[in-house]
Amino acid sequence: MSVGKNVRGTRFSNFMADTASCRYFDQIRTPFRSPDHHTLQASGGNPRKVNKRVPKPSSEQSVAGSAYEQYHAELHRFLMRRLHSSQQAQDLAQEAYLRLLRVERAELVRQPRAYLYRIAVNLVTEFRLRSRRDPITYDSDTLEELAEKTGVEPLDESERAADAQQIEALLEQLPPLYRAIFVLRKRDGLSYPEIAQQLEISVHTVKKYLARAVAKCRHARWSE
Amino acid sequence: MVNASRHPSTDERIAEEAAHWLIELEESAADLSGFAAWLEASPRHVEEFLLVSAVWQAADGIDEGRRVDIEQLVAQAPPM
Repeated sequence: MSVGKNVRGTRFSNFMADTASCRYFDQIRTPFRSPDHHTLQASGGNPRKVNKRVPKPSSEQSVAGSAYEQYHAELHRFLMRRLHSSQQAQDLAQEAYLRLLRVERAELVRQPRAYLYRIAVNLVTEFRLRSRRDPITYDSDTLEELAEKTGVEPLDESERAADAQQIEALLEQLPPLYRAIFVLRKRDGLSYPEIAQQLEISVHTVKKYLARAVAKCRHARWSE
Repeated sequence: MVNASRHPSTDERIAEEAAHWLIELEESAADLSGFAAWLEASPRHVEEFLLVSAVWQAADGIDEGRRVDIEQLVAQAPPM
């Protein structure tokens, strides 16, 4: 069964159907829900590909500690260029949403964020391939090469520094307390209770202001 | 579908919800079931979560020169 079989009304479905036999797409399967919510692993698929499924994301607790590993530089680049609401970001989210709904519920609840990031990373790779016109990019070897390449390419120092500078500039527009909380968390790595203690406010307030600060940064004008 | 009904205040609310979950997930006792249900409720939730994830990630390495003075910021803040 193809990953894309149940996707309707999106441009992805045609793309997925065209490439359903490609080995790459056997690698990106996650335990999808069948209509009765059993995983597809039990119902077979191509027996030759069973051991080529992508490993489950590691535990949710480890995500914060190795965020880049889980979240992926390639996805980051894609999203950073689309922080202004863009059609591509919406398309990505729409398709990620549909795929998320097919992840078996118990699995999803165990590590929802890791699943979302993995699905989104796969979609970014597919996006890039679709945006190329050369039909040879649909060749499975090329797909696999590209998947391998993007899997090991971290953000370089200049990209990270540019990201940080953009955030710093946006933070300057925020209320002082929002900014203090943000810096204590991201620069100093303090826990929420530690920040609350230092600023003599409640943990609830710390989280509330931090969430507002992040939301405001997301909506602020983002330089290309 | 999502395009037609986009509204600034709704967008901001969803972004704040997304940021809320992002922040909660950094704690070990996060409500993973609640987060999964929130994601499953709307593609807009998925979109905003991915975008605030990008912001959060971009903020790694801010102020490495330690120019921001926390005491000074607190002094500037209006009384709670």
